[in-house]
Amino acid sequence: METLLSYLENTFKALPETAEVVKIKAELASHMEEKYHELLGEGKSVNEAIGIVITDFGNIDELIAELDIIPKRESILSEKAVNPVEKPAKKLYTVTEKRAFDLIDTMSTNSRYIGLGVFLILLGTAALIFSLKYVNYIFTVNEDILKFLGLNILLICIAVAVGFFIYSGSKFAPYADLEDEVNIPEQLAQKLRLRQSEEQSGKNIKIIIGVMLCIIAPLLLISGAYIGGEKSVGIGLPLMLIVIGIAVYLFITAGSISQAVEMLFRTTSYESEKKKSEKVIGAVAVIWWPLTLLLFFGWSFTTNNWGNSWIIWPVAGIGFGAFSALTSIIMDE
Amino acid sequence: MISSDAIRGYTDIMLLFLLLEKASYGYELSKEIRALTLEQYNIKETTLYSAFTRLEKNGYITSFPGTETQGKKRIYYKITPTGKEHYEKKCEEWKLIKKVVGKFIAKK
Repeated sequence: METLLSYLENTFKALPETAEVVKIKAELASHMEEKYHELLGEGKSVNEAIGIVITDFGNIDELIAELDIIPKRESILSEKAVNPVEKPAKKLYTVTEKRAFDLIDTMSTNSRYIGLGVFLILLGTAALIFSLKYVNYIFTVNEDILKFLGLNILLICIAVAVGFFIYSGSKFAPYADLEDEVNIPEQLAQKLRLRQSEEQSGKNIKIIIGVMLCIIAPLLLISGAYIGGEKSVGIGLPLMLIVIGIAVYLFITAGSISQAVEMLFRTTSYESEKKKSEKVIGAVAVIWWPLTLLLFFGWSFTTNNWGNSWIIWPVAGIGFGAFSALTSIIMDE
Repeated sequence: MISSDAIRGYTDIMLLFLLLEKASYGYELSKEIRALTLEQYNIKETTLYSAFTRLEKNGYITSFPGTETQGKKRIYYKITPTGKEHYEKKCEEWKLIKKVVGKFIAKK
């Protein structure tokens, strides 16, 4: 009989001790005991009786489906044991609360690393331009050393950024299975939605600031150029890139919690409409600015017309600012 | 041997039928099912108690504690008027199922 009771204990170990669960467990204990004694009365041996009772016990998941609980362990639940005779639907993995919130934290941290990585790339580019253009006017240093320094800074920044990207990827890897369709218990779903809405206002602020920065940045450059002339471009340009970098960081990190939650719920694929605008803006930024840099250098070195080629920057800046604003308005309906 | 998947949908109707006669408790009901089906269906404990939980939640049965000679406290179940209605409905459904599915059973 102790064997049967410990079998029962073990089967129920993963379940929270709600009143309902405790009641059912007690009934099952008394049921099993009565059955066991009857089997002994029929002449079965102790081992036979125990074996029969355990074999006849059934699958605990069937019971879990009927009780109002979230099992403590991760279990693979088949669709509820139904009363109308239906074939159970495909088995879905049930997410635990701990795992869901760990995912959210991981994706939050990851978005910061990625944002930082992108920022570093822009920072490195800014440093290169600064070293080429402006340093000459402050220090009298060998021009070659400057170019060397600037290039190295950029390369280091790129290396660190790539390191961040890879690190983020590896942090996300254990949760990759959550990208597939999963079963989310009702209580957990409510908590997730709550967390998501808590992030909402912070997310909106970040996006607004980001868009504002994208618009301000080129304006800084233009005003600097008109006041200080060609000289200031060497400072204005890097500053503008840094400001853009901050904006991109904000875009990438805004709504990371929302992103994680939407991924779990898989509503309209987890790149829901709202997220798209930020992703698009961030993605375009990473291409736009290096491209502009290439054009700038290409134009300047071939025509040696540095005095005029700087104009490419304010043009690109205004263009990007307008693009970001439009994208946000159109996509964030 | 009947597969438990196939029979699972009918456990409710079986239990309600038995409870129509008289109130009873878990183990006794499982024995009656075995006896009535002539050992063709041996209901599993988890299936049985899931059914009780479900039926009680839907208001088709109610439970009350009862005493027994051995001094053990048992939970007894009895059917409610709603439960009786549900049983009638299920019987009608079964008759319909028999007719419909019967069309697809090869005559031997």
